[in-house]
Amino acid sequence: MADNNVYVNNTKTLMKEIGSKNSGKIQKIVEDYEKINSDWNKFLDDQIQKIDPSYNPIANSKSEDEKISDLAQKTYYYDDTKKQDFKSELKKQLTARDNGRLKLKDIAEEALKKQYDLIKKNKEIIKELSDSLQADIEKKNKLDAKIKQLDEEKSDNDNKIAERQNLISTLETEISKLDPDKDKSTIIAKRKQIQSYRNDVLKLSDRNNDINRDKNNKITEKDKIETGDNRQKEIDDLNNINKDLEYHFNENYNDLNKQFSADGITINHPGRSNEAVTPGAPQLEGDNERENGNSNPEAQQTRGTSGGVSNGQPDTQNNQLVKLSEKQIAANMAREFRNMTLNEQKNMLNGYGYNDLVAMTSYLRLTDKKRMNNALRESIAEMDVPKLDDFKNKISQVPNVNGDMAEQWYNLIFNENNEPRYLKDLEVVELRQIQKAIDTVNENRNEIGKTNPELLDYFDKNFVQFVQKGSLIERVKTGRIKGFFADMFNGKQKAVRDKLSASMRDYCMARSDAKTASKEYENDIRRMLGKEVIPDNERRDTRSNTRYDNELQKLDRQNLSR
Amino acid sequence: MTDETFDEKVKEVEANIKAIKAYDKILNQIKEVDNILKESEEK
Repeated sequence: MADNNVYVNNTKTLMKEIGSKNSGKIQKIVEDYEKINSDWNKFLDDQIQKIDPSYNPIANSKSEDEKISDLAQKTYYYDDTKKQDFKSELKKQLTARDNGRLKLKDIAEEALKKQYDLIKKNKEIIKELSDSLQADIEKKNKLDAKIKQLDEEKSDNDNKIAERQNLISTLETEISKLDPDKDKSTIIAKRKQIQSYRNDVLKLSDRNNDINRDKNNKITEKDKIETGDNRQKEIDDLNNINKDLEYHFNENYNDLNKQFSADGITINHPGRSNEAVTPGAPQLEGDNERENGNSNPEAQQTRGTSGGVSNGQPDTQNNQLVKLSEKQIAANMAREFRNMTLNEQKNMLNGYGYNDLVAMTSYLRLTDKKRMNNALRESIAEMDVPKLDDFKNKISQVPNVNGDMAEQWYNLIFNENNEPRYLKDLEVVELRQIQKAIDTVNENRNEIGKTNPELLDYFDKNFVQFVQKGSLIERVKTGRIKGFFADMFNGKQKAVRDKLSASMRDYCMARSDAKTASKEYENDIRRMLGKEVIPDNERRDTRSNTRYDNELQKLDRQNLSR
Repeated sequence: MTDETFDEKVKEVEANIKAIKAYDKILNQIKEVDNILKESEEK
């Protein structure tokens, strides 16, 4: 009875130590985790407030992903020092966060080890109980068999004794009927026979006495063996519960390992080297011998490779895609454009890069150029024309640009009715001014980006996009042979046209490089965080289909070109 | 095995079962807080 109390008290003490959300180890786990979480969010909020002092983390609650995107895109891309400082701070925070998670991993591993050992111990005890019960039952059965055998022997002996006694009685009756003088020799023979039977009866009776003694000993021995009324049922019940717990233990281990492996942390299995377990399938004692069963690929992921997309481009070995030349891309785009509805065409014109669209026009037929012209005009008509005051206010923030100059830029693109102007109506000097405006922003791109990245977007949307679409209209209207601004035939006009084309190309390349580098920077940070990187085709919903052909399409094209 | 020994061993297994379930609380709590953290990251 005293021993029983020891077990109960130990369990109670243990449960008290483990506690709940408000006490014991569990409370500590929750507190630690909340601290990790809050430190991490505070770090991100502090960083955002450095670049956007108006950001209020309580009023404008953002997800971690949104915060990371903000940090990656808004400012730091343009400022190498801030970028490196942020990465270095991020590393420190990640180390702190990982250390917190490693503490949790240690607690989880300790709890799993305790469970593993207790389940193993239970199995040993249950096996001992079961083996002992089987041995006792077997022993009892053997004694029962022996007792039965003794009973049978005694019964056999009793029969023999009765038989002998009957024979003796018969012989004595026969003797009484004989003449003692005349039948003397017969009587002597019968008496001898009687004596022989009496000797048999004595021997059998002695044997029966031995049997009784032996039987009583066996019964006493059997009675001493305790097998209880419900022992087998009790053992079976305990065994079933322990098996359920073992299944649950394996499930728990796999869940935890999966959860932590997403952060590059592996939970060690207490019984063997790290490997995922199919719940219930492997038994504890067989764990070490288990050959590879179900390896969990998620458990193999480590920080920095979780995305599976290294540079956002398709893996040519896996999906048999072939990268196309610029000419093939342009030809593919023209083919797609031909088969699009007007809305789809407008989306394409809004989504694709300037250089791609210029290259595409070379592959359009005359009727398609007309459709592109219409789509561009509709697209321009749908664009919001900025208010002059707003434009002046924003553009005057560009280095070396004042309010008057900003107004001049506005008037280059929009007429007195606030409508977009056609480039064909512009003077050479105006075209030169447009070119200079684009050059000015492009030359100061990094400087603007460090302090005011939204200004780059504003200029792009409210100036460059109009120039871009206007120039494309001129291009498809005049055709490839005559070239851009074909109305200008003299040398000066050609020089302006060439310069503006070059400025547009430089601007578009710098804008594209900025987007690519910004995306790489964001992906660098996402890799550090163990998050999935964002592939190219999620950012640009435009070129993924035209940049690659599969092998079949490639063969088709080769056949067509023969 | 005597009844007393048998009962003692059964009690030991039952106490171990209680302890295993108690450790489960720790593991569940770790899973829970980890999920909460992940959910807050995905908001």
